[in-house]
Amino acid sequence: MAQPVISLHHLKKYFKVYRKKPGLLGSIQSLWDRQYEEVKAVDDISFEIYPGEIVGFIGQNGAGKTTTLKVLSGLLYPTSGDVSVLGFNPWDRKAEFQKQFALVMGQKNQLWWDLPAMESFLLNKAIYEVPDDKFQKTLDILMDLLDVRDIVNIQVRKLSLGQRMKCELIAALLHSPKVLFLDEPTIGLDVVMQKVLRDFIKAYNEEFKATIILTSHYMGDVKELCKRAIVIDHGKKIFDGELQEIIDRFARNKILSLTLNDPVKQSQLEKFGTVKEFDYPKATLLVPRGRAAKIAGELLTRFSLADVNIEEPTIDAIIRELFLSEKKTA
Amino acid sequence: MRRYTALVSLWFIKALEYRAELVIWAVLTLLNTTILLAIWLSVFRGVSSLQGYQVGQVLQYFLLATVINGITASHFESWRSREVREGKIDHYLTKPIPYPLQVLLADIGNRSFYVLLIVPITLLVYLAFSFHYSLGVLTVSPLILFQCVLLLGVGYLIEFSFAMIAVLLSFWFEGAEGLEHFKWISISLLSGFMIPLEFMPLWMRSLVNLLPLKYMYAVPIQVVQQRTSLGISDLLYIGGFLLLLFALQRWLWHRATLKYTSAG
Ligand SMILES: Nc1ncnc2c1ncn2[C@@H]1O[C@H](COP(=O)(O)OP(=O)(O)OP(=O)(O)O)[C@@H](O)[C@H]1O
Ligand SMILES: [Mg+2]
Repeated sequence: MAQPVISLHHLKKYFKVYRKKPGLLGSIQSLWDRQYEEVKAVDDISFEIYPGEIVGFIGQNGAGKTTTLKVLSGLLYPTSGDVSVLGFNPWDRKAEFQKQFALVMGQKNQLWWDLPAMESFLLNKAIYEVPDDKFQKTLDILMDLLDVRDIVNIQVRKLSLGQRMKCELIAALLHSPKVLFLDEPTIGLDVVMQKVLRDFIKAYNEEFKATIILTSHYMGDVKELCKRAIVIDHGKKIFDGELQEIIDRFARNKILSLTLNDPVKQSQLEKFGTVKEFDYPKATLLVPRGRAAKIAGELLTRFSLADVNIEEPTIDAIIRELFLSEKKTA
Repeated sequence: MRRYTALVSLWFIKALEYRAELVIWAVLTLLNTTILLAIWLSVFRGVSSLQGYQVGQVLQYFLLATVINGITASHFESWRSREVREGKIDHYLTKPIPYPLQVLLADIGNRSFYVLLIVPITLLVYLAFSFHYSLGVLTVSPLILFQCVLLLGVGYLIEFSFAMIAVLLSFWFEGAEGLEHFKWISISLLSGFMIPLEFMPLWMRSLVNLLPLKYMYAVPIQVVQQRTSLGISDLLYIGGFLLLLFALQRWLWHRATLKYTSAG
């Protein structure tokens, strides 16, 4: 197997935060008595990522995703552990390393607010020393993929969130990075724009054979883009493997959606599974995964049904299960 | 090299966008000069010369100080410090040019615009005054010119270093913006920006003579007015001081990268 592009061994990043009692009294007290507390943002995480992979990095708010990406980008100095990205120690901040990766954060923009995006593109071209012809070629490809030709000369602050995000992506990709850290690139975007960006990320991955780590709270992103997912919770890794495996392991139920022809009592339905919703003529039942087909058959013989559907639970629901089971075992 | 000039020119473009802010700075600087000139005119009322200065020479002193200020003074520490504290420098830090160098290039770009704005205005004011008062004659010899350019560079590097140190300290301390005032006061008093050396109390004068800040205003103006000329010891002192500032910034920057928490 090829060498991993990214490898982490026992990475820890603790922050020292200081706790202040509220109000003026607390402020005065904190002058001589500061209460420090350690936040274990990343607490012993290890994984390896191979060339060309798109890995989904999943976790609830405050799980430590952004912190991990910042360590990988060399922004944060780790408390302990070994990190290697493209064979470099990220926090050495070597120019050769920095020219080969990009960090895109949905929450922090690099584009200059008061200038058109094009100025920021030119700035990055200069900083990354991209040759003219290569710059023009890459820019053309990216602008076509994202359909932004008519907005790159408008002041960034006059763009919509989605338009800005597209330009952010272009600015980050002009030097054709081999490794890409995407921290919630689709945050706040509507479903259409999310889809556009997803398709773009997929195309970029295929075209440039880039290795990508993607965090997102929209499971659609992860499901569509990532074969592999790493789930973290409270700074610890709780799952690392194929996304399908999470589904198989943690989706114990399937969803049966029924449309009834005649009224029935809820208690009658409850014999077949957990009634999630019941609003005649529609009903939704959770049934054990393995017996879904059989139960559907039984329902069909018992009641007069206009329609019956067997569905997988949403990936969000599955991840919720995963976190819940993690809490129980913890 | 090309990437450096590109950075400088982009910050120049950005300064054009923010010209209102720079115009305000220019107005404030000129206001400061006007007040100083008014004060000194009243000091000289009824006397033809004080401490070896004629009224015209004192006016010339402060007009030249304004030109020097326009070329060398830095004002970036407040907003840069805020950026550090708010974690907004992440994108600068992932770029293959060290952050302090990016700050320097940005400042040069920004300043070029400001200089284009302030220097002509000050020269006009200078010209206006020269009709009313006999300002000292300006002799331009290659040697004087060389010393002036050198000292302007030195003044700029001292200003920049002080501002940069304030920004670097903001990786640790929240109030680093306050250092801007400290910088302003110490430079105003100890460089000859507010008071020519000859008018200072003796103890202060010897202090200023010991310190290197005099090379920012007092010495270059004295050079122009042909009261002094740089010697070898001056050059050694300047070189040593700049080296010290540079080493301090390097060390602080190294510590700061370990310390950075990238908030937000
Ligand atoms: N600069 C910092 N100083 C102190 N604590 C921090 C800092 N950055 C993050 N933390 C803490 O570290 C933990 C992990 O934060 P992180 O931003 O990595 O979470 P996340 O998984 O990205 O969450 P989200 O989904 O909300 O973006 C949180 O408890 C947060 O409060
Ligand atoms: Mg985050």
